[in-house]
Amino acid sequence: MVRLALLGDADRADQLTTRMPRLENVEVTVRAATVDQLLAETVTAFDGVMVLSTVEIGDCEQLASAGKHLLVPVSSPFSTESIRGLSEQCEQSGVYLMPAGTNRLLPSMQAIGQSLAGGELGEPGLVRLHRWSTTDLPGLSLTDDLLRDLDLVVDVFRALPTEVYAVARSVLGSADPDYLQVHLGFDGGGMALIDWSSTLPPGDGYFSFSVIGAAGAAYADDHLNKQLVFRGQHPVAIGTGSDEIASVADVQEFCQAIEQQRAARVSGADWLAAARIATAVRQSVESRATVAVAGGDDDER
Amino acid sequence: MNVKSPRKFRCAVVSVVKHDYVARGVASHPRFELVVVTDDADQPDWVHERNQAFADEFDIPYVRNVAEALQDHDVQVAVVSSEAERHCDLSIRAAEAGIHVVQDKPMSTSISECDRLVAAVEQSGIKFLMWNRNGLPALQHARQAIEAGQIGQPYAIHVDFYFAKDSGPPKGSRADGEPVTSWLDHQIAAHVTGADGGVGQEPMGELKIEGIYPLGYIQYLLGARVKRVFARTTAHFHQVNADHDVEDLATVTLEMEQDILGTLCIGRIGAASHPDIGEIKIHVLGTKGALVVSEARPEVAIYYRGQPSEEFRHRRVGMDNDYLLMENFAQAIDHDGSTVLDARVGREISGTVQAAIESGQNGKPVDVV
Repeated sequence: MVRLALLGDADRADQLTTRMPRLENVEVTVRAATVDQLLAETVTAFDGVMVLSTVEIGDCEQLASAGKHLLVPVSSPFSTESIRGLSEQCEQSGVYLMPAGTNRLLPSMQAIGQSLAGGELGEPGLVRLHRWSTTDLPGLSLTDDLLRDLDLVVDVFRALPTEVYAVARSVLGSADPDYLQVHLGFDGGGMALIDWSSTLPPGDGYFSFSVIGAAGAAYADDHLNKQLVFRGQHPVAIGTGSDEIASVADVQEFCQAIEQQRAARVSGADWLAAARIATAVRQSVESRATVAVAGGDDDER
Repeated sequence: MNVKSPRKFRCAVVSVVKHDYVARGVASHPRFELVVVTDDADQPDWVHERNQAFADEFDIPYVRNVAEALQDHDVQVAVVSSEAERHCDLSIRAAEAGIHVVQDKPMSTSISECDRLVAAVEQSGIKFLMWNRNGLPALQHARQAIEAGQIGQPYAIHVDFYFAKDSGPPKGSRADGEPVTSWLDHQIAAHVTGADGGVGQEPMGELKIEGIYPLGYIQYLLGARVKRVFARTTAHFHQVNADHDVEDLATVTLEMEQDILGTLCIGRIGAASHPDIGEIKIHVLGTKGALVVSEARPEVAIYYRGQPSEEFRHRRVGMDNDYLLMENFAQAIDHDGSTVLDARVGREISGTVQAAIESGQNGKPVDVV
């Protein structure tokens, strides 16, 4: 049995706790609002921590030093260097670091991952990803989605890209870009195209992910997973999402990794890889040039 | 109607060695009548055999002299579907004879030939139509939605254009020492399956062979020229592409007029990669909404015991592309209007393709010339 501490956002902790019964060998033993509270009062009562709110990098390092495995939101506002430092700290302390909310454990992504791992699709050649969100989701920014989706691409190619070319626009007049598209190139000819938008009117967003391999292809597309509702005039397309399953899957994978004493399927190294690409994306947007990533210091060309 | 414009146009099929869908598409419109097939006498036997077979099917003469055929058969329209490198030359000869031209893709394998064609078309005043798919129902509906302002001002467009076709043996299948198949021989053999879109002496990748279609969609829907591209290209699937160093998979970042951004994914991704002809989709983002369009729809799914594996399970229906293109062409002639994809737009698209190929080779963004 893995003993889990939930740190931060009480509402999210409540939601998560209701889903816990479906998980095997996991027990939530502690809930705390702050790291100090967690470490001061109950330090021996848990094995790992699931962070549910924004935390300081120092808090994470403190928990790692205390020998606690960490499940930390991938959207945490950490710099590339901070992620690198935290990864090293966790390694030195003999604990696992897993970024949460990476999308790798979405049911659709797991199905594609299994197909790739089984060799059904052959050598991947192209990943195409569209993610469009709406203007009414506070706190959701391109930056949040950036790491999640870059991680999905890296997971397909099992490598960092060799080059990045990115362009961005501020479509609706905001100070920060609300539209971004990224073009990645990988050794051996692999490539990826990703576009993010946060300009859709209030309502549902859209996600589409496809992998074209040498022997086959996989298509996960919201367009294909809609149901129709008729209530006059044109029908409305209703999504059949399964995103909530992914958050539970995150916890399950994190706890199984602890129990089985293995690295989680999404690691600190993966987080660092996505962060490095995200840095290159920003550099490319600013320079309007390609930026090299893999194999050393990022470099504009 | 222009008083000089006949009720019915007499058409010469000027080489029909690649696909015959263009000539058949022209003939599907009641105002266009195929009256002769023609080509140059010095062409190889396989060219003459294909031309003769088409002429026999339509019970029209095959004349091995282009100038003579155009003059003697009172022709108003030339339908050109030769090997790619002869496209422009044949079209220019027709234009210089004052004959309107419908031409198969690609426009040419060379930009200088495209420029020569544009000059000939504009100097002669004839109408020119690059064959395209802009008359498909999905494209028509998408354009109507955009023009009606349903998604506001478009600011980004993405096109996936994958053909789920094979192109000979897979990459890596040629044994050491085994000779490389010539490009032309491969294309001639591929005619049986209709996978010979790149027929010609010069090897061509998917950007050159099929790029006119998705880039034509972008032009048709948004009317914006591409100014700058960044591309990745590779031979990922097929031995013949790897042997001749031409891509069968490409991705292109497009920076366009009006501050519009876009991308293109294009590939001949293998028959196993899709249950039908391939995933062909168009995504358009606007300031007030977005469109996600499946180019194949409307379609009907048909499954039955003993169904051949190569038969598409989903069949496109309501296909009016041929008629709409030719109606547009007839209207352009009648009223001295422009065609849905004229010589100048074809040249612009060829320039985008050329820039993408160059970017794929040098790894840098390239301005479109």
